[in-house]
Amino acid sequence: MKTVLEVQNVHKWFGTRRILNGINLQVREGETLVIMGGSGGGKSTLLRILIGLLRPDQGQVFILGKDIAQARDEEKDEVRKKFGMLFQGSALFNSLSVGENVALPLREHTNLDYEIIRIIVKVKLELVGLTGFENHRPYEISGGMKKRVALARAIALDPTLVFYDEPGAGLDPITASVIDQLILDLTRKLKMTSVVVTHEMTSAFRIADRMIVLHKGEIVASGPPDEIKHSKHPYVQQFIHGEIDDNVLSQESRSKYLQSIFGTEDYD
Amino acid sequence: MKIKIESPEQGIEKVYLEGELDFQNSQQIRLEFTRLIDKKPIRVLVNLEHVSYIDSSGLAVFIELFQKMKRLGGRLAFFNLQERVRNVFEIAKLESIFHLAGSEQEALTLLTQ
Amino acid sequence: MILKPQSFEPLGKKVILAFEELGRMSLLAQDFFYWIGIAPLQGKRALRRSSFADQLLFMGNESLTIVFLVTVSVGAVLALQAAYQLNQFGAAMYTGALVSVSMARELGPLVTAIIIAGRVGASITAELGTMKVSEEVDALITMGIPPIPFLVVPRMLAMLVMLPVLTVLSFALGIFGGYLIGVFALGLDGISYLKESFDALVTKDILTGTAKSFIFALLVGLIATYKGLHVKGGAEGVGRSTTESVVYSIIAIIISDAILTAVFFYAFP
Repeated sequence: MKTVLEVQNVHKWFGTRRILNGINLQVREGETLVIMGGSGGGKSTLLRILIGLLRPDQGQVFILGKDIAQARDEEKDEVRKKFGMLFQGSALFNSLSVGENVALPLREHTNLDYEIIRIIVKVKLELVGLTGFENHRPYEISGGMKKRVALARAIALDPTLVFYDEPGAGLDPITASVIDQLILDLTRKLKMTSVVVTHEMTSAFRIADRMIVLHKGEIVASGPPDEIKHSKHPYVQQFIHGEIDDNVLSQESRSKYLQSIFGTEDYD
Repeated sequence: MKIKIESPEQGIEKVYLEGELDFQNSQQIRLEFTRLIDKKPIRVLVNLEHVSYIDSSGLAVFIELFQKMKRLGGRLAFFNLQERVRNVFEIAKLESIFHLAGSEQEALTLLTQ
Repeated sequence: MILKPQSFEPLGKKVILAFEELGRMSLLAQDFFYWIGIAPLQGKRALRRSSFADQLLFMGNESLTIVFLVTVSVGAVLALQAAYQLNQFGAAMYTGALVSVSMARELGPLVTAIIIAGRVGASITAELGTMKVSEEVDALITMGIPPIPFLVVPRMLAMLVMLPVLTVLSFALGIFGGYLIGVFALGLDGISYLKESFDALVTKDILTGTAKSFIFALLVGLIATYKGLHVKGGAEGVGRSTTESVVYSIIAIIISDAILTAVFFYAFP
């Protein structure tokens, strides 16, 4: 199996805060990888690095063999034509109709005739179950529909790799599962590779071939869903079962708290 | 992408394609088809035996050819599709609309029915 | 009171921030000039014609009525004030000349630019800012579409066309406003009022006035697009940036007006 995405020893700091600490991962062709983790665990930052919106302070990100972390803007744009991205809030352009949104990557990156683009848009909208919605405006349709339009736009150029940022965010559980099903279907039918960032357990276990769990900027567990379910790692267990760990909230902050009040290291 | 068009009989056009039909070359293939349509053919047979891959733009070019043939009152069939290419038609839920034949003979009989 | 050195820290930080912002804004200007000047020569698509046309239409639609109302009023007020002074010397017939020259050299470009900053500049910042916070700008980038030619260039170019056009229009509207006052309130003869208005105008007045409006367009466009693309902090941030965009634009217009007037005064006496 070909490796589509490879991350090597990626580090990222925001000021003095360490967000990512030595991330390594590989995604093989046709695989659906789910990146899980709590808020502040570094998963959004990792995703932004993967799609080239952020530069890591250290490390490499190879997408289809090209290092996007170190590439110049124009080289990045070439790589970007080969993958799709579904944003959390859909990120459709409100000034364009649904059809024009899906057509945009085709207009910008191919020399195809208007008529051919129109046909492609119809086919893509059918794939996401929105035939006949070309002339609607994004603000006229529901959140779930927007997600589907955004998905149609993400696959407009027939990418082999698609990234998803919290595909179920802001949707009711039923609509969210429809989107999950759509991702599963399309990934299988179009033989795409998918990388999904989410914190929603049901969704994650539904679509993943393999999962990684991020905590404090490090990968604490990785493997197929069954393995993750039975992982012995305390954070992973907590995360899956949604338990609150008293220690998480208090232990570390307690020492900082006392220090900030008494101003000394040894307050005991 | 290679394209060859032969007209063994009046009104019948045989199209032979070879290679991959994708965003890079589908516009050029479309122009060939436009020229073909100008001849107002009654039957068009497209041999896809040596086409290893088509993408959305390739499919769109075929769809447009289909529409134009229909408008002319002519008929269009494809034959000897590779698995990957047939998949593209199936994903777009168009395999039952297009005449997709297993052989040239079958394609011809489909069109003469 | 004795000022401790650290009292100046917040002020110093503000100055540094202001310079950083100026620096980033000039980077945007540099990008814009790259995309309209050099990129087309490298075979890159720098302008989306339809979005340029959309922007032109939008700007015209948004501002035409206000420009009309305000500049006619400014012309009228100017005529009244001028007549008040000129009457003391029995020179009320020169009212037309005073109005037309002041409109062309100063008030036309200034007032029009301020209206555009408030009307169009603000909506550019709000629109781009909303796109920024709803990840639309990120979406463009991940689709491999650079935001400068896609978002900034059409708006800047439309601004560079529309503001000078509206400014030239404002000359005529100002003269028309003055004419209304001159003829109906001051009882001057209509034909000689207009003759006086146009005789006093020399090409230089119109050229310097239009030149000013180009500079204003550049400043308003840059500030508006910059403020939009650099919004931070959600919907609230969009509101803050929009206000800042208008305030900074007006300050930039007035300061550059002072500089340009001085330059024209000494360069073309």
